[in-house]
Amino acid sequence: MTEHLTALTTIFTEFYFFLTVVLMFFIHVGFCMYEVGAARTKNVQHTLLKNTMAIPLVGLCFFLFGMWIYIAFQGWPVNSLSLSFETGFEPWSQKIAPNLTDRISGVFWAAFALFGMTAASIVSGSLIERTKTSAFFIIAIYVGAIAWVIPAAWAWAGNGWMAQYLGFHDQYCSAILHSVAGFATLGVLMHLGPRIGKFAADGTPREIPPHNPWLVTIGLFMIFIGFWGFYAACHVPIVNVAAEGATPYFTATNIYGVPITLSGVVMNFSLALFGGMVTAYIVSKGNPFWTYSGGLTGLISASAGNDFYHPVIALVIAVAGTIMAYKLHYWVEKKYKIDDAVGAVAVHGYCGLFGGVVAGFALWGYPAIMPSAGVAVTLADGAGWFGVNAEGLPIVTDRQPDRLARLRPRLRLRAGLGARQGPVLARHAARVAREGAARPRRQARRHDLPGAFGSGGRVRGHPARRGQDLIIAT
Amino acid sequence: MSTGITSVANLPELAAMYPFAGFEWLFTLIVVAFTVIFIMKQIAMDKDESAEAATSPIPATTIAPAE
Repeated sequence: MTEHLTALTTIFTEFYFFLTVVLMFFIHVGFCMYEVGAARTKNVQHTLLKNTMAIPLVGLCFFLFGMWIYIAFQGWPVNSLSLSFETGFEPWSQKIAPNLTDRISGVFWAAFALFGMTAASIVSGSLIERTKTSAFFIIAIYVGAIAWVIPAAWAWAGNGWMAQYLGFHDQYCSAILHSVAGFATLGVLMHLGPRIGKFAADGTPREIPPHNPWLVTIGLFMIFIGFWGFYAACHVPIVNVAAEGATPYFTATNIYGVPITLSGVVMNFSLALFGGMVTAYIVSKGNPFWTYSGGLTGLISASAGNDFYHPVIALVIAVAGTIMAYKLHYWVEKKYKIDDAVGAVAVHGYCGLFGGVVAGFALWGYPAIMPSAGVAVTLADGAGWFGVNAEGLPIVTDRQPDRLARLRPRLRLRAGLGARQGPVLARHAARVAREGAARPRRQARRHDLPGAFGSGGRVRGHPARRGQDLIIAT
Repeated sequence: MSTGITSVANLPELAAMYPFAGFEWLFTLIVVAFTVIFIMKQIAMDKDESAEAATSPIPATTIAPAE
């Protein structure tokens, strides 16, 4: 690192991520306080230690395999069937130890580990007073180091196949982290049953007041603080995104390498927070629990596209998401007798899913990723099933409805192949290719499905987008 | 909806990059309405609470140990 500009941007990025990790730790302080305050007195110590020990446990699993999953699974199983063991994040890698040739991997790992701990903590609060510690630890490992990491690899990286092929955009993890953790929580709650005393004999739900409302209050404020760090950790703070040889263009980018402004993000964060809090205050008629949770429902509803929304769009989405979460929480509680002690399914699950879907409409047509030397995003062959822009970049949703109609059956086929039969078909396709000459022509064609895995497990390129690699390379 | 942005090839020429750019007047009206509704709702809630307090019997006062 002898060149001044490279040194400056690298060390700034390193320090930036270091600070985001510190800020994000407030989420865990907040979750601890919140859950301990919400639990009844006899369960306080169990709640405290269960939540606290999820931090090192998920951290260790993230060291062992969580971060490796995030890097190795980005193309798997759609544009590649191989999983690399040279990602730099294997526990035996030299890059995550003090190493003067790599100043980013460690802080990057820590930021991701904190995301994973957050996912586990989301589950933790809802289950209070009802789980064995060991059972919760298994769930924490699953949600914190596996369940959310796979969709993150697919959809929360410029190289992820969902970002490249579907133009999926979820900048601050509404769908890929919050909804995954929220719905994992719902699944557990369905089997766990309610806390003792939650429902009357006739099935009417009862409010179980927190044993310490002030701890709940301060805890939720802490989570707000941590969320600033969470947002900050989703950026690349400074990078030259200009193509090789062009005039440099230094900017912050989102996780997909597309230029953004932190200034705009701060505005969107604030308005989404305000919108959620005010709405929750109004719809709950001043209930303090919902007023604070409303800040989170607002933020999570707007998070998927909060890098590109106008602040007022973020506010409107936050308002809609908050009303939906509030109504749905009580409807599910009453109808299905689900006891979600801290409302995590509503706050993270429903709002996360809502936010992810809304971003697809609100950011219609926007370039989903931006490959450049600086942000190290490279396009896979055949990217952009929903369409591409003039430069051959996949876009968030398609602007031409007829293309959507044409793509639907093809997409269904590809999704099915990728999720279920992909590896099996790829092996079969390789065998067909070997035996190709000897096979009857008609039979061979049956396996040559449009978009299915062809030679070497790669998805075949869309004819309309051939040559895009050349454009990107310039 | 659409951002109106379909290309990021010429970054120095890009400015506003959000959906509905040009409708800032509408955004302003939305926030004004939201704020007014919030205040009106609060006034209504205060009024309801006062009315309820005026018609309800006075509850027995609980004195905390510290008092």
